Amino acid sequence: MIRPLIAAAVLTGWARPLPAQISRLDARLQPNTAHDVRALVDSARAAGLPEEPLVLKALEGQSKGASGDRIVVAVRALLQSLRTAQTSLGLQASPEELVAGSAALRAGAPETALASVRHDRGGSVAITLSVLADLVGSGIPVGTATKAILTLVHQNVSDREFLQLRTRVEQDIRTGMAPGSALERRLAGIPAAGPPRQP
Amino acid sequence: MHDTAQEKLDPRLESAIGLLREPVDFGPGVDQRVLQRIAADRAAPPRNWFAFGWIGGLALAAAVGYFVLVRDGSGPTARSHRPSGGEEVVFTLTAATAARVSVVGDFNNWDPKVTPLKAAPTGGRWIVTVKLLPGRYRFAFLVDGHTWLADPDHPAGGDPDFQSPTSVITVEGHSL
Amino acid sequence: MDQTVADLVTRVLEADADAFAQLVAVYRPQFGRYAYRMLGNREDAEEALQDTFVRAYQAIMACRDRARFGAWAFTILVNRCRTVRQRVMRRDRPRVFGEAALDAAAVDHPAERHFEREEVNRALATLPPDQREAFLLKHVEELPYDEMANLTGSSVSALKMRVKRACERLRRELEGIAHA
Repeated sequence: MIRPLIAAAVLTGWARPLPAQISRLDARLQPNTAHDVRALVDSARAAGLPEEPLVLKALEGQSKGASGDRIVVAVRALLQSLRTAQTSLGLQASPEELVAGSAALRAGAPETALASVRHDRGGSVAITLSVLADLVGSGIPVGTATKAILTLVHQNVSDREFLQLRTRVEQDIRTGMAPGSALERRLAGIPAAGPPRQP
Repeated sequence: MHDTAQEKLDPRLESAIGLLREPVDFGPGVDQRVLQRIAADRAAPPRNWFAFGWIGGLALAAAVGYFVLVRDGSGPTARSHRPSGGEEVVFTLTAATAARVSVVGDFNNWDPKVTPLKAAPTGGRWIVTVKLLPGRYRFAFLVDGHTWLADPDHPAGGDPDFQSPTSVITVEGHSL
Repeated sequence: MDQTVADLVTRVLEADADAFAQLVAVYRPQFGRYAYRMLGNREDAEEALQDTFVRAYQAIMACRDRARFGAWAFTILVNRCRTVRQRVMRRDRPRVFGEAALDAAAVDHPAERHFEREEVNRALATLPPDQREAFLLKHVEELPYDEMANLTGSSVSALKMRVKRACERLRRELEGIAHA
């Protein structure tokens, strides 16, 4: 079975050993800020949440010249969204699913949408939730995007079709279509792959 | 999928199709008119500026009087799919009077020094190619060390924690 | 050809304006034909044609496979033709499907086919836009259905139905002419 990988190790904290994460924080952040971020990273690890996104968020803040307080607030907010994603998706959720779920939540998707996707879709929901986040990021209203994703989940479309949907919607938007129209047009081109999966 | 079962067409329909396949002449200078339209559009403010919204407006305001940025819709785009699951991603920006441009994001620890773009000989275009593993990456362009720009051709990052724009690029990959 | 097209796209990305002029020269004949057959007059067709190349130039970084620039830009063309057609319908401008003489003058076709050419254009104009689009892509541009689906956003089954209905209607229209 072909299993698409949507969130790589670089986003999940698997690829980099802990000391490397810590040294990056120490090298780039003020000591107090690095201390506070490390505490949040430790908290994530204890909860079984991916750590690397938190480190990258802190480095983004440093690169953009944010204050230490602002960096800690941003990292804490990201940690909270990962926790919420875990609550919605369950303790068995993979790091990829949690990262994608967090992105969808931060884009404005409701927690109930994550839970519905988890409940109704077999296998990994990482791609489904990543596409949801990207559709909202492309300018499609969150309610419209969420409804569309849930409809497609019920139609049991494949991960590949979710990825194609996102690519084609982005393509249409680049050619001048309104985001909502682009989504509507591309949804019309997706046939149901099979009977809806029974909960 | 090529359609192997070509339906047999009515001879009169076949003849009509033959006529419809004939070339159409637009008169002399059509190519030139197309290129003039492109040149005229390049001279005008590119539409993609409006896609930046208020954040882009701030970035543009900050740049006024110092340099003129010309975004022409040529954003970073995943290219050259590779069987190994990685991709060469081309990042490009047209910034006519910028002195330096870099792309900064999750793939380089948000370090502005790591991935500078190279200036093309003409046209004010900056470009760099980066090999990325499959993943979902947040990124932005940094122009002259102080102006952050997102790419309107890719989804917004959705979490402007630091009051500056970001975009998201997803590099797809498959594993058995 | 594909290697050349890929090279041209690469050169455009390197800010070589001449390279895009060459791409226009390569694809304008096919794109112009589709736009004209779809919209029915040169003025609207050239508008769609210009819009297409302008947008393709602006968004050329979005062309993921440089060797398939033509297929990618054709997607833009299909969209632009739809947009232009909708605008034309809003302003209720009569469409002119009687420019066959200009076709002939330009490309040196036998004079005896002028009448037939004009009638074919008229019959094509009777098709609903979605059927005309599907028919042109299938039988004039000779695209496979999966590529048509990618271009139009419609399913293969829907496209096959449109092509079938378009053929039936065209056949009726052309038979009507023959028996008139």
